[in-house]
Order: sequence, then structure tokens, then C-alpha cells
Amino acid sequence: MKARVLPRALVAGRFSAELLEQVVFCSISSTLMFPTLTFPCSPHTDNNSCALQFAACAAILSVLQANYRSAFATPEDRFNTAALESTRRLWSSLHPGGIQGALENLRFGNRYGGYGGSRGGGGGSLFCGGERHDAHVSKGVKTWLATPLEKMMLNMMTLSFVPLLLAMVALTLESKVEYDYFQYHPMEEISSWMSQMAKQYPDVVTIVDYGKSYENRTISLMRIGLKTDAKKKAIWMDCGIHAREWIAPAFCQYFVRQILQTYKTDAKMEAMMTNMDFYITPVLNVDGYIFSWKNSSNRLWRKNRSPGPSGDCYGTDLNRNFDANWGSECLITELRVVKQLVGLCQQLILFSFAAIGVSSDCNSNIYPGRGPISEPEAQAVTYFVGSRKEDFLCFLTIHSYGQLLLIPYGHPDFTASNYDELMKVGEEAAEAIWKVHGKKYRVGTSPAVLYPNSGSSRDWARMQDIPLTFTFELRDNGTYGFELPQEEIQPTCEEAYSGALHIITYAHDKTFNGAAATAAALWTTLLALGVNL
Amino acid sequence: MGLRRAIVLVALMEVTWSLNVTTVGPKTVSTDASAHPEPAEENTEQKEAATAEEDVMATGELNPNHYPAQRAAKVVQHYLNTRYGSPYKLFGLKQVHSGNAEEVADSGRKYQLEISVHEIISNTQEKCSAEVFFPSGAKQLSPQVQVSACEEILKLDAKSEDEALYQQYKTNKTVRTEERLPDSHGHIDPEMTPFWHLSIVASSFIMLKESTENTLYNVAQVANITQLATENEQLKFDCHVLLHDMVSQEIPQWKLLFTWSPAEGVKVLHTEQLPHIHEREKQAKPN
Repeated sequence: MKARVLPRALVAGRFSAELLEQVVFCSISSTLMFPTLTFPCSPHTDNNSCALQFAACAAILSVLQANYRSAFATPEDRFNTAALESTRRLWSSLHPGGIQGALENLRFGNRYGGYGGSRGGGGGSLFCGGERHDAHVSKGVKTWLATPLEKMMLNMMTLSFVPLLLAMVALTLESKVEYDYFQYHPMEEISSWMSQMAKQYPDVVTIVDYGKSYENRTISLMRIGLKTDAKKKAIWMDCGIHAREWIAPAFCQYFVRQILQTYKTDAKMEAMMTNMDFYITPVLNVDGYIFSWKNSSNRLWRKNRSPGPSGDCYGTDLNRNFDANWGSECLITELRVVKQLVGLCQQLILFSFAAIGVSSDCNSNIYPGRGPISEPEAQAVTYFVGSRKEDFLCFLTIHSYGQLLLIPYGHPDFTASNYDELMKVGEEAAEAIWKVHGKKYRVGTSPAVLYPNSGSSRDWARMQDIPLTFTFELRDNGTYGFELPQEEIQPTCEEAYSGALHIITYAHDKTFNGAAATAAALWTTLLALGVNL
Repeated sequence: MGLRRAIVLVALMEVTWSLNVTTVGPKTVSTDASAHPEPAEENTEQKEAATAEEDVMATGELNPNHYPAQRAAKVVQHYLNTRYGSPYKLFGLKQVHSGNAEEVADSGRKYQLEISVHEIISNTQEKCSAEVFFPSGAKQLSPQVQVSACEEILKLDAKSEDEALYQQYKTNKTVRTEERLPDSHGHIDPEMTPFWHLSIVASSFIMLKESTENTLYNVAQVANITQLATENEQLKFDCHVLLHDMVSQEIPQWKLLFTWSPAEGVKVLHTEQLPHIHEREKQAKPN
């Protein structure tokens, strides 16, 4: 076989700095053909099988290249229709889609100006673990007259290329530890996962330390969003305010993974990440969560770990500690009198003094603390959100169990000004949840659906004029309760994600499709006027 | 602070008012009253709170998604488990379709409910009608339950599995748990699952007895279950369970002595509530 002319597939793998974690190279191109082999791992493909697919891809490419070399050894061979046909059949048997067109072009080799064509290189995309890894390939591919030396070099390159790539894949896998979102993780693992995510997505994820727990541990959130110069709105989500509700931190981690996976391919999510920042606290009650992991008899701990006033009892219920009708005496007699006199005064008194669903006994699981925001964990949220409250469109706090979507207020006598909107959006979210796995979530205010309470973070958030505030109570209904089996983590997270996404999308569209909404309102008004005239 | 309150006030001006200002849950009243600095008003407050509470306690048609119907329906679940539960037959509440409540002259409140009951192991469900009566009065009496129109689910046959388990553990094997059921991660060893069910059934006697319109009980966890010597053809067990009351968010702990056989079902011999966990911690040496 005369090998005087040989197309050289210039494998110009330009690897970015994050190569080992992000870029998986899977494409080789040449002037005369534009193979675009894609092995689309689905977003749910785990990295191991993605690596296998990649390895297969690399192996196939080297076979194809070898075949091409042998089939089209001379320029004249480009017009060898038999060789073309057999090559095409081989390529399509290995990868049915997409190659045909490229191979057809071989007939018209002269279109590319013979050798030295600089037609842009082929590209390839490999989706691994839900992230798109772009292959940077040759921008210009040249063909050349192959001397035996060059041919040998090419052979060596090709031969060494595959193992090199495989080695890189191996390294990639080693450096990126597989995180199982469908298992419960102790605090250390969650903390290192957070750091890992920030490293993996430096352009979109930032860790913000915004407080300290009673036992002096850092309380951190992940701020996730695309960097823009515009003033951004915000979404708040916190999980694990109650230690024993392990499914909640699991959901926050899943939520983070989902938005990071989808924003690159889903235009809607990209728009939301451009217009808004997501502030997500995977574990708010760090001390309590760690305590519940310490041994099996602590598993059902609920509160934080600050000592009570007498020193021999522990823990404040953080979800009774916020400055929202915080627990104090109920002055019912006074209220009845004042009510008849001045409606506003009445509101003021009730607001200041009405406490419900709490206990002044420090041992109680609903002990609200020494005073409103007496607890550092509640302070952290209050100061962080409070100092940016105009930015927040949405405040979601995640709990278990009960399968509920709760809206403000926890006090039976107070109704949120946008109660109808909250109920409507809540019911729609519950519908979205039901569509995923058929689980029914009930929607309503806490006092209606569950029990009255005061001092909750959700109530406090609503009182800061954050319009869409919801408490999620995830699975189940009491069969396993707080110890939800790990097999249920995935379906629970999937349905809750659907519900949360509905609320977040609604909040976003209300603010950012304002132009459309205003126009619609304007037209409606005009039409109405027209009718009247 | 005052300014902020005023602003919030202004923001709340469109808030609609309910004329029944009650604001107090029964538990809060008792605790707050004891801490109230003005004793003279105490009695008035409690009385007003009590009457006010009754004003608010729903009567007539109930919203099935709201807590009064839900709490009453949960009581039906406990009742069904005490009567028909076994290692291979366990009931859960699937849904409340409708409810109605009425006062029964000075003796209590009666709920009528249409619910869907779910048999967890076979994953079947059926609509049932039920009546729950919560007696009033100082001495806490347990609610009374009547169920009708759901014979199918109650007749579900688990006899062969129950019988096989019974024979196995009557003489050959003995069960003694190593782990809590479920464990911290929600896992239960498959061999222990029937005993987890049995503990829930036995606990249902307690949950039924302790239920009021202000409680919502589930079994949080079985700390341990130990089989004792078979007596009178009945398997005999000693178990320690942690209940969860959703309303108070507390974890009451109980020890139970009970027997079971396929023929006789579960019979509870002795129950004992353990003191609150913090009391036990006080007595134990600090870590």
C-alpha cells in the first residue's frame, strides 16, 4: 500500500484549566470528513458508564481513522467509490447517525481545495453526568504528504492517543468523587460537597458564610447564579432547621444539583439564573443535625443545642424563635375590649402579644427561646435576609414530615395580604408534585391544615414583604416519619423539586415578564374602556 | 421596633378580621396561665380561652384537608390496627374525603368521616365510613370509633403469612432486635419487618387510648422488641416504642407487654409511659 498521501487528523486537543474535572475529549476531525460522534450520556448517567462510553468512542475513532488511512491511501482513492462505500458502511455500523453526510463529501474532495483545507474542525460533545463536556478540536486541519517518518509519528500519536485519553478519564474520575444524592450524608460530607461544587462551578457557585451556630460552627449557604451587571433578585431556600428532618438537607443538595445540571441546556433555567440568585442553605441547624447523627438515641432531636435558662435543659425550637408574633402572653380580655374601639390598635396589640403553638417549658420541643431571635442560627437568617429583603421574591423553608405546603401566617387571626395568590400558587405546586409520583400534598395555612404556631421563619419572611413564602413538609405521612428510607430520597426530591420549581418560576415570571403583563393589562383596560364608550 | 411594627401594621390594613378572637391553643393556655403575672385575670382568661376555643372548634361540615378531620381520621387508623392489624396487615390513612362534626350535649363531640384506608403491605385501598366520638370531661377517656362500609380491606387475607410466622417463632426461633426499627437511615432488616408491624399494631392501642382532638400520633421508631416465652399458645413480646405527636412535636416513650397469635390477634397486657427523655438524662451521668 502506497502511503504517500495521508490525511492527518490533527488532534488539537486544547484543554482548559479545569480539564481534569470537566473536559472529556471525544472527537477527531479531518478536512475531508467531519465526523461528529456524540455519545450522549443522559444527565442521569453516572460517571463510570460515561467513561466507558467515552473510551468506546475513542476506540471507535481510532478504528475509523485506521480504516480511513487504509481505504484512502492515495489522493486517487478519494474517488474510489467502492472504498468509499465500504468505509461508509463501516462507519455507519459503528455510529448510525450523522456520519453519512460527511462521508458523502468525500466524493467531492476537490471542494475543499485539495489538501491544506482549513475548514473548521469537527466538534464533539460528550455529555457526562449531566454536564456537557466540550471537546476543543482542531480549527484547521491540514493534509500533508506523509513521509514514512510522519506516518510513523501519526501512528504513534494515534496509538498513544487512546490510552492517553483513557488515562485522563481515569484521572478525571479520581479527582471528581462520585456524590450519591440518594443517601443521607453527615455534616462533614455535606460541607466538603459544598466546597466541591464551588470548585466545580466557580462561575456560578459561591459559598457564603453568614453566621455561627451556638457551638460555634459556621453556617454557610451557596449562592448560585450567573454573573451579570444588572441588579439581581433572589430566591431563598433553607433546609434542616429541624435536626431530625434528614430528608430536607438531602433535598437542598438535590435542588442544587438539578439547577446546576439544567441551566446549561434549559433556556428557562438559564434565564432564571441570569435574573436571580439562588441562596441555598443545605443545613441551617448545624449543631442539631450533627447531634442527631451522633448516636441512634439522638436521631429524633429537633431543636438547636443552646442550653436553656436553667442550664439543665437543651435546645430552642428555631422555627419558633423568629420575630413573628414571638411567644409572649396572650391578652384575650384586653383584645375583646380594644377590638370594639380601634381596629388598628387591636392589630398592633395582637401582633405584639399574640403567641401560639409554643411552650415556655425549656424541655418542650416547641420551646421558642428566651426571646425573639435569641438563637444565633435564627439571627443569621434574620440579618442576612433582612439586609437584602427587597431582593427576595421567594422564601422556601424545607421540613418533614406530613406532605404539606404551608402558607403564612401561623397565627389563626392573621391572614396574609396575598392569601389568594399564595393558595393558588400552592395548589398549582401541589398539582405539579402529584404529577411526578402521585403523592398528595395538602395546601393551606398552618393553623388550618396542621396547627397554629408563632415565631416561624416563614412568617417572619412574609412580614418582610417577601411575597411568596412557603413551608414544605416532605414525605411521608407517618409510616416511617422522620426516618424516611433512603430508597425514597429520589422520588421525594423529584416531586418536591417540581413543586419548588413551580413556585420559583411563578415568582420569576411575575417580576421579569412584567412588560408582557403590563401590556396585557393595558390592552384589557383599553378594551374595557372601549366597551364602556 | 415600634416604627417597624407600625409599618407592618399599615401593610396589614387590608387584613380581614374574624370576630372570634381566641388565639389560644389549650396547651398554651395552661402553660402561659401559670406564668401569667396577674393572677386576678388568670381565671377569666382560662374561662374565656375555653369558651373561645369551643367557638373555634369546627362544627358542621369540615374541610377534609384541615386538621380537625385529619386528626379524627388518624384515630380511625389506630382503631383499625388494634382490631385487624397483624405482622402482615397494617393500615394507614390515605385520604379524607369529607367530614362532619357535632356537639353531643355535654358529653363530647362526634365526627362522621368518609375516608380512604390503605393496607400498606398489599398496597390496596378502600373507602370507609367512620364515626369518632371524643368524650369531654376532666378525666381523659379514650375516643370511641365505629367503622362501616369497608369490609373488603379488613378481610384481606394475610392468614398464611401470619400462621407461618407464628409457627416459626412459637418454638424454633426467638426475636430480639439489635437495631432500632427503622434505623436512622430508614432501613429495616427484612426479617425484622413483621415485628416492626407488630410493634406498630401494639402501639396503636396506646395511640388510640391517648388520642384527643389535639393530638396526632404516629409511631416514630421502635427502640427494641424482645420475644419472651410463649404463653398459652400466644407469642409474647416486650417492646419499647417512641411515638410522635405531631401537634406538640413531642416523642412520648412507652414500654409495652403484649401477646399475639393469628387466632387472637394482638392483646396488650401492660403499658408504661417512660418519663420525658430529659428526666432520664438528668439521672444518667453526663458524657
